[in-house]
Amino acid sequence: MSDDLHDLLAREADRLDVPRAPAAGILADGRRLRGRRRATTGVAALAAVVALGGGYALLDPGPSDQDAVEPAGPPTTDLGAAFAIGSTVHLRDGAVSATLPVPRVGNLSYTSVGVVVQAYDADQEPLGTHLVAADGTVSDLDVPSSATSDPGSPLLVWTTEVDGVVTVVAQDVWTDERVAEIPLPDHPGGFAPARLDGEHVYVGGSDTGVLDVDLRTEEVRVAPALEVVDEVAGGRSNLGYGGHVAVIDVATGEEIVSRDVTERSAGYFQLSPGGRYARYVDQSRQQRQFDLYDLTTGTPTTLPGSPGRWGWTADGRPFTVSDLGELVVCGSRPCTTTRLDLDVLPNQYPDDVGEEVCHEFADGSSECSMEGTENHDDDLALGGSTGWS
Amino acid sequence: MTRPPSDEDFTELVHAAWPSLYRTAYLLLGDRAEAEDLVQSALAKTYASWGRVRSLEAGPGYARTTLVNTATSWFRRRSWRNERPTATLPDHGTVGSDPSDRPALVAALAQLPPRQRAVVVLRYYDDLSVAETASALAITEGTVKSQTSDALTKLRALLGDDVLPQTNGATR
Repeated sequence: MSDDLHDLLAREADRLDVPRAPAAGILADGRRLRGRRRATTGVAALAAVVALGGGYALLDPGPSDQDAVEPAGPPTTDLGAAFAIGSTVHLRDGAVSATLPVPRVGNLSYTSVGVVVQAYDADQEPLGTHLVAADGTVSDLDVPSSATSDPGSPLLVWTTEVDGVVTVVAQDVWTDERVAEIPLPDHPGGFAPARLDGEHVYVGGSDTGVLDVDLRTEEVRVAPALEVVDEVAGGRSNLGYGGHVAVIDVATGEEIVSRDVTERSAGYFQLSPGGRYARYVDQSRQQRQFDLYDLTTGTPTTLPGSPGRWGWTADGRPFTVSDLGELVVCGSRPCTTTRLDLDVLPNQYPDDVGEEVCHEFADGSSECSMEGTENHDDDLALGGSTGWS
Repeated sequence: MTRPPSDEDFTELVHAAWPSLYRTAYLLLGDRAEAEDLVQSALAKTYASWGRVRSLEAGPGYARTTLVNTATSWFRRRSWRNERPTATLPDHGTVGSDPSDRPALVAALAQLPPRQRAVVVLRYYDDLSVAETASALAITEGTVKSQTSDALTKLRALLGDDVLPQTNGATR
């Protein structure tokens, strides 16, 4: 054989069985990404080198939107998997870490410029909120614990009452400045949970339904597909607790995945940041494995262990950190394991977190569940919450 | 910002560009699932950045550059070199069934460091010049040359001089 390298590569490529292009999924991902980028227009525009007709040409960046909300900040960085062991926060798959002068941290949520964490004292009482930037720099944040984030945005968003009117507040965590205050005069006040998704904030507690607040235009309308505000990410939301549960498209109300849960069970879907994946959490029993759904294809995958042992990476893939200090990241492709360089390993998880108790019912069927007290002493906190609870 | 294309136009673009992008992605990564992920990501980014693409004709080229840039960012990730598949053998696809290939070219490419693999694929499969390869990978032309030389030396050792002679097929 005396082919040159070009011919060898071409022949290898030609022999590939090319899968069908998932055009609908790509289009949906593109829309979500576009929405997130429009919410982060402060990111420096870079010229793009583009291949054209066999050669490369330099294209000018397009004109920027003149948005009502223009958060500042550095270019978005891939934060990878973020987790905390005790008071040390690790991000970018363990490549960067920062230790806070507090007993422990938890509730890690992603923004485009870093991870927002809650500090706790020895009695588990909240001490404050901090930003751990992509380079490990720590800064204090003056935000309430109810603030909600989106991994593609530098904003934290929450609701408060100003002169008796429920108001959506958006704060840029990079500059620590408020960039929007949008009153909702028709909201009755009181309970007003909020979720940030791209440039939209979804606010519950209104008599007219869930409110969809556009941070760019400050337009407020009702989101017809949503009944309550739980999780909203990537234009998707989880629906239901027990009975019929689903993940729906917020714009159309169309169900993307669903499950019918027996009346003796209670469960729900949890969305990943960015809304690419969802996992099913069965609260009626101790799960030794759980289903992960790729929402682009609707395909389920089974992952081992309890869902609570898994967090989400900034780009929405499930990950966990083993007791031996290994980072395991999964998703639609095969899981990968990376040995981390950790000074302190996570606590040993207990093998059993309760006692299995079986109940027999009148129809002769039986159902078993784990009852007892879980051990909450472990000091491992995994990233990926899309809001604060 | 330029409005994105219609769903029909973008879907047509995806179907047209997908096979070529997938082949490049597979040669870059050596894994079918990763290649599919990479192409999906590149095309979604192309849609999201349509203000810079501006025309349907420029779409495939923009997607190809985005694909290379995204692959490069994956290579830079600290975990890329340390990652090992869990309970799953690396997917080398169906290539390499011809015993005269000894070993399959993709298997040999997989033994190169990521940047060397990218240099080889861009120069010898996508026919980019040294300057274009340097620009696409954000490295110097000198690095492209040295990485190419090192990569070819390794590939010759793996594949044999009869499979990979001194004339390597680079046209530019």
